Amino acid sequence: MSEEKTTHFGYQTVATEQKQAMVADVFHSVAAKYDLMNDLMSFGVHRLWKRVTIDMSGVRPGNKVLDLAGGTGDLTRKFSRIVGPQGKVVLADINSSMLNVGRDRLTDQGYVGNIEYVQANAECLPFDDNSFDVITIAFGLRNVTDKDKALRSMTRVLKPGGRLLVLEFSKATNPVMSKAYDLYSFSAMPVMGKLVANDAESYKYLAESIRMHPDQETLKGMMEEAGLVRCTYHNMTSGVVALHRGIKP
Amino acid sequence: MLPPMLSQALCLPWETALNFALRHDPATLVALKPHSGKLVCLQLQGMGAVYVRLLENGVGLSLSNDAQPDVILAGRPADFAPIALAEDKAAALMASPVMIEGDTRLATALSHMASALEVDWEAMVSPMTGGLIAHQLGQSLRGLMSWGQQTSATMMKASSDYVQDEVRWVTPAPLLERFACDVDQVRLRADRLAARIALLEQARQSERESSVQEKHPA
Repeated sequence: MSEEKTTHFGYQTVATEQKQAMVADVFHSVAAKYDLMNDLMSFGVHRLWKRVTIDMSGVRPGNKVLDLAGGTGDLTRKFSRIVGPQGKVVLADINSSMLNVGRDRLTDQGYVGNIEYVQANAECLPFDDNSFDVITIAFGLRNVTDKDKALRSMTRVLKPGGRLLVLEFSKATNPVMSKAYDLYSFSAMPVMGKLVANDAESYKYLAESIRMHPDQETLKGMMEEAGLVRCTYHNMTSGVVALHRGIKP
Repeated sequence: MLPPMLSQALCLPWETALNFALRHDPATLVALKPHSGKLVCLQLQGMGAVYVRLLENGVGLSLSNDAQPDVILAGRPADFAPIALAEDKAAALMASPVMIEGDTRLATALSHMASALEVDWEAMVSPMTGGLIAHQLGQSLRGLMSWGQQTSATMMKASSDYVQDEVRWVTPAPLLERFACDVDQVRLRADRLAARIALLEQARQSERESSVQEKHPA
């Protein structure tokens, strides 16, 4: 009898091959209201987290950047302005709905010429080895089924000396903040999801998936395991979010 | 160093205000365009560093940045103002105590942009007040600024005349320049004289050595 491989989908244990489709359903459902919900749920602080990510990326004009799980294109927009016409930003997302929202929004705002859109799975990136100066994955890694495989894939396509930045929810370092955050994410977030996006379940998954995501030290170890060096992380908002950074040797 | 989140929160309102003002000065935006993507670091003595990312349609501010700046300008905040006000920016930049590291052309271009900044305040307030009130406000503001500039120039001139000519606390610039020139001339002549004496000493020494050799041939 063959044993079925399982993984987490929030607090549920599901078959590995099911997770991708289930996550896809979540994001198909929330894509249209994703930005509004981000602003509401984080009180706009996600903009500061993303600004820190840009500053710590060390990106320069002419660089090639991969914004993985880029969704509605917040980081891509900022990177596109910095790399200029000589550089390139690839906005990649596994979810076609998110990618469509991102592409439409950026095109409507006039961000064209140095941006490419690719529907891609982070676990098997369709790019040549050593292609990118900077790779970012913001609030996407926890939705990936095989995180180790995704980190190895990112390391492969990163140029030697290139930087990988993982911006993700993490473990709050302050016990009071941790309690308040638990209360907020399990009671307020699904209600907001129901009221704004008419989808409480997706936001319940969001809260659960955050708790199931590896903590700061574990993720740092996973990045080192994937072949990155000088891995560090910076806690933001008392560890509610952490920015991990590693360099390809 | 401030935590990154706090520094971003501090920079965001300034950046928003600056970009709002820049949107009402199309000439500066055109001048910014060729430098888009470049990073400028202002090392303000006693205050820390401010990073300015030049972008096609504005600027980005931060207090920390991992990218290598294209130019670093280091000095006291007061050192930067005379450069922006000077007519010859390049000369003022070179003569000022501001330390420049990196792309000096970019530094000069920035200085030009800063002094040429002319925000259209009328266009900025007209969506809130309407055209008529905005025009009146604009005229009053321009009048006030013009009066301020004239008054400060007159004040400067009057103060300068008073301390130089009336109470004679400070030597007038032309006299000082002439004196400095005379000192330079004296120094130059003294140097020449010293060189000449050294030459004569050398000649006398060699003459003495040759006469000794003639008297006592080896």
